[in-house]
Amino acid sequence: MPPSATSVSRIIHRAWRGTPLGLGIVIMCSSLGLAVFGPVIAPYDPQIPVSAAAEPPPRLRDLAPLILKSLQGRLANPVHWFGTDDSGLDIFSRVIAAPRVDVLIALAATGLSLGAGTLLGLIAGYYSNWMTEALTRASDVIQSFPLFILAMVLVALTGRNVGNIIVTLAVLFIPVYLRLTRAQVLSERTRNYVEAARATGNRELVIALRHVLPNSLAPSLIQAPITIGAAILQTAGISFVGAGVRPPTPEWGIMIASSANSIILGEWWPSVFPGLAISLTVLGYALVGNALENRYG
Amino acid sequence: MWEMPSRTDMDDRDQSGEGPSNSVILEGRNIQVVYHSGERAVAAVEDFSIRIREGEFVGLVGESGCGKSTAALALLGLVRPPGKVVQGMVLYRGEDLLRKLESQLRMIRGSDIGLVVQNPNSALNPLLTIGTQIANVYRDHHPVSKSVALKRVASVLKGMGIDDVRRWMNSYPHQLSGGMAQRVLIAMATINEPKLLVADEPTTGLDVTVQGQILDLIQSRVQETGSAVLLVTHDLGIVAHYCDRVVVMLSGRIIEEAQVQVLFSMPRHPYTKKLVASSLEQARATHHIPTAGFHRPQPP
Amino acid sequence: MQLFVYILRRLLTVAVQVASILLAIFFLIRMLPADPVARLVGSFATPEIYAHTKAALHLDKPLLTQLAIYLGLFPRAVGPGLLQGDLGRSWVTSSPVSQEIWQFLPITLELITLSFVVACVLAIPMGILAALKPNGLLDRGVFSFSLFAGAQPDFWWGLIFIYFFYFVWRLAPAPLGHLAPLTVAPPVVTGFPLLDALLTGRPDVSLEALHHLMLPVVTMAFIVSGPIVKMVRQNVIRALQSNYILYARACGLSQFHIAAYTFRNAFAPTLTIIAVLYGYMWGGAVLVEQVFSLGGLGQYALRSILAFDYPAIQGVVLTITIGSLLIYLAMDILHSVADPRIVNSR
Repeated sequence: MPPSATSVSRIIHRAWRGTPLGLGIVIMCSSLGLAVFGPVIAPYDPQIPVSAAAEPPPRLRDLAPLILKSLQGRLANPVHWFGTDDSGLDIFSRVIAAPRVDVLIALAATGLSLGAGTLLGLIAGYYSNWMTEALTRASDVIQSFPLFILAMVLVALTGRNVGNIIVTLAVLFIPVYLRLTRAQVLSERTRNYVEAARATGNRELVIALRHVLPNSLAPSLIQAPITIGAAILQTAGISFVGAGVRPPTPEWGIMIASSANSIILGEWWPSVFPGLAISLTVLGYALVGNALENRYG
Repeated sequence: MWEMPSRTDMDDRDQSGEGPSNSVILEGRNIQVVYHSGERAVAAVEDFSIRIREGEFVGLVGESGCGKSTAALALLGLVRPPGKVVQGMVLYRGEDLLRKLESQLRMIRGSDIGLVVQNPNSALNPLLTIGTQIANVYRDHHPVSKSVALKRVASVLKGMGIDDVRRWMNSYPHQLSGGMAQRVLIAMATINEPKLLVADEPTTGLDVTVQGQILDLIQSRVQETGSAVLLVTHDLGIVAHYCDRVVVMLSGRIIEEAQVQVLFSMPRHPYTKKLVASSLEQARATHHIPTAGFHRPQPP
Repeated sequence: MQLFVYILRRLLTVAVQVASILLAIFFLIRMLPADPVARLVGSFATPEIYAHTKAALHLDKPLLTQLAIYLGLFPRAVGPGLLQGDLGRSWVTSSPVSQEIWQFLPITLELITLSFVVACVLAIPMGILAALKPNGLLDRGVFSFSLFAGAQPDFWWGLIFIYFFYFVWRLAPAPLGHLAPLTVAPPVVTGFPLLDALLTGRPDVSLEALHHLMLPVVTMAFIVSGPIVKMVRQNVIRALQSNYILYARACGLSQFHIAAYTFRNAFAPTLTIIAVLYGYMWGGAVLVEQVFSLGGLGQYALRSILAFDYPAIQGVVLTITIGSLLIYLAMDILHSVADPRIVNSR
C-alpha cells in the first residue's frame, strides 16, 4: 500500500526534527573517538615529514579506485587523502590527530569551568553577603572583557602548553556558569522544598549541596556543549596567531596558520581541511546544545 | 436588599419592542474547539451554543479546565494555536465572525465587543503609559487626535470613580496593583461603548477585597454603556450576585442553562446540583447569604 | 532627573571597573612566569646587560612601586604616568604607547563598525521576517544559518574568502594591508583612513580602502550575523506571543499599533546582545586583522603580547576596556530610555 501524503509528511517532519540532533551526536562521538584513537589510526606520523612537500589531494575521479585499492591493501604507501603541506607532513594524519589536542582541551576546560562555576554560582546565589556580591561583580568584570584577548595574554605569558591553555580557558568560562547557576539558585532558594529541608533540621550547607544544587544545574548542562564549541574556536584562534599551542603539535589552528601564506599561491588544501574539521566539529556540538535547549530549556 | 424581580422589571428590559429573537446581539452555534498536541487532538469545547441579548448579564460558569474561557475566546475569534475552531459559527449582526478576515474583525473587536481578561498586568504593554494605551484603543476606532482621545480617556476614568486621573494616565503597568490594572482593562474594553463585554475570570487572582469592587465597577460601567455582559467565572457566588442568566459547562459541554433564580432554586443536572450545594455551603461558612433572586440597581 | 542620576551612577561603576581591570592586568602579567627582559635582550646578553635592562624597565622593584611609577605618582623622579595621561613607552619600539594606539585604533574601529552595520542591515530584517512565520520555511533556513554561522572559525573563513575572491576570481585585492602597498596613506585629519581620504580630496584612496576592507568586513559580518539573527528572531517571536499583544488584538488595535508595540518591545532586549557582540568583535578583529594584515589595534595587541611588551599590553587593555564599557553604558542608557521599568521601579 503506498504511503499516504500525511504519513510521508509526518516522516519528513520527524526527520527534520530529529536529524540535527542525530548529526550532532554523530559528530560529537566522532570527535571523541578521534581524540582517543586519532593519532593511533593515522596512516602517517603526524609530526614527522616523510613525504613530498605540497602535494595536492587526489582528484575526485581517482577517489573511488583509490579507496578500493587501499581497502584491498594493494597500495605501497597510504594515500595522502588531504594532500601534504609545505613541510611534507600528511595533512589527513594531522587533521585526525588534532582532536587529541583541540577536543581534549575543550572538554577539560569546559569540565573544569562547569564544576568550579556551578559551585561558585551556588555560593554566590545561596549566601548573600558582601563577599558573594564582590565575587559576582568580579565575575561580571571578567565577562565584560573580550575573551580572546584575555586568553592570548594569559596563555602567552604563562607558557604556551596544553595545561595552561586548559586552565586559562577554564578560568575565562567560569563567569558564564557562575551567572547561570546563581540565577537559578536565587529562584530555587525561595522554594518550598528548601523550607522543608530546613524544617527537618538540615544544615544550610547540606541543603545547598544536596537539594538546591541538583535543581540548579540544568541551564549549565545545556550550556556545556556550546562552551565546548567555543573552547575549540578559542584554542584554534590563539594557536593560529601564534599565542597558543606550539608547533609541530598537530592542532587545527596552527595547521591553518602554517599554510596561510600559501593560499595566495593557490595551495588550498593545507588550510581548508583543518578549517573544515573545526567548522564541522563546533557545528556538531552546537547542534547538540541546540537540541538540549529545545528539549529542556 | 435582594429583591425578586417583578414581571414589570423583566418587561422593562426588553425594550426593543420586537420579539426576543431580534434583541439577540451575539449568537454562537455548535462551536467546537480542538487542541492539537503532537498527534493527539483534544476537543476542549463541543457543541457550544449561546445567545446573548441586549443588556443581558450572562454568567458562564464551570470548574477549571471545563473549556469556558476557550468558549468565550472562540466567540471573539481569538483562539490561538495549538487550538482551533473546527466547527460552528458566531453570528453578529447576521454575519459569521469566524469566517471574517482579521482586518474585518479588527473593526469589531474593541468597539462592538470588548474583552477583559485574567492577569490584567500582563495584558498591558509594559513600555507605554496607561493613558496612551487606552487612548490608542479609542483612536483606532475613532479618527481623532491624540489630545482629544486623552481627554476622553480622562473622562471615562473619572466616571469610573478614579480620583487622581492624571497620575493614573501617566503611570506604567508595572506601577499598578492588580486591581488598578483591571480597572484599566475595563476602561479599555468599554471606552468605545461596546454592545457586548466579555469578561474572562476578571477577578481570579485579585485580592478578595478588590474582587467585589471590580465586579461592581463592571456592573456600573455596562449600565452606562448599555452593554450586555458575558462573565466567565468558576465562582457561583459571583454569578448569583450579578447575573441574569447562567450557562453551566462541564468537560467542554453546556449541561444546563437557566435564569439565575431558577438555577439556584431548581437545579436539574446532577453536577449543577452539586455546584449549587457547595456554593451554599461556602456561603454559609463565610456568612454571605447567597441570593435566590438577584440584586440589580434600578435603571434611572 | 532620574535618568541623569542613573547615568552618573553607571559612569562611576564604569570607572571602578576600568580601574579594577587595569590593576588586575598590571599585577597579573607581572606575576606570571614570562620573562620580558630575556625576550628583549636576547639569549646572548651578559648578566650585566640583563640586570641593567631589568632596572630600566623597573621590573626589579616591588610590585606596588612599579604600580606607583606607572600611575605617575613620582613625576619628577621617574617621569609622567597614567595620571598625567601618559601610557608609557613601548618596550619594543620605544614610541609612546598612546601614540601607537592612536595610530592603530581607527583602523580597527572602521573594521568593527562597518562589519557590525553590514551584519545588522542583513540580519535584523531576516530575523524579523523569520519571526513572523515561526517554523515556516524562511524561519527554518534562517535559524539553520544562524546556528551554522555562529560555529565558524572567522580566521579560516577569511582565508577561504581570500582564496576565492582574490586567487580564483580576482575580485578582491591581495590581503596585504588596509591600503595597497604602494599607495600613500592620506594625511592624518581624524585618524580614520576612510574619512581622511575623503576630507583631503582623495576619494580614490577612500575607495581603495573600502575595497581592501571588503573581504575582512564580509568575514566578520558573516560570523556576527549569526547571533544577531538568532536574537532578533527570538525577541520578535516572544513579543508576538506575549499576552499584551494578544490583548491588543482583542481590543482591535490597528496593524500599525500592533507592529509598533511588537517592535518596540522586541527592541529593548536586543540591545544587550549588541553590547555582548561588540565585546566579541574585538577578539574577532585580532584574527581578521592578522589574516588580512590590516594593521589595526588587534595586530598591535598581538605583537605586544607575543613580545611581552608590558606597557603596550596595558595600554591596549585599557583602551579596549574603556571602549567596551562605554558601549555597554550606551546600550544600558538606551535600554532604560526604552524600558521605563528600569529606572522607574518604585
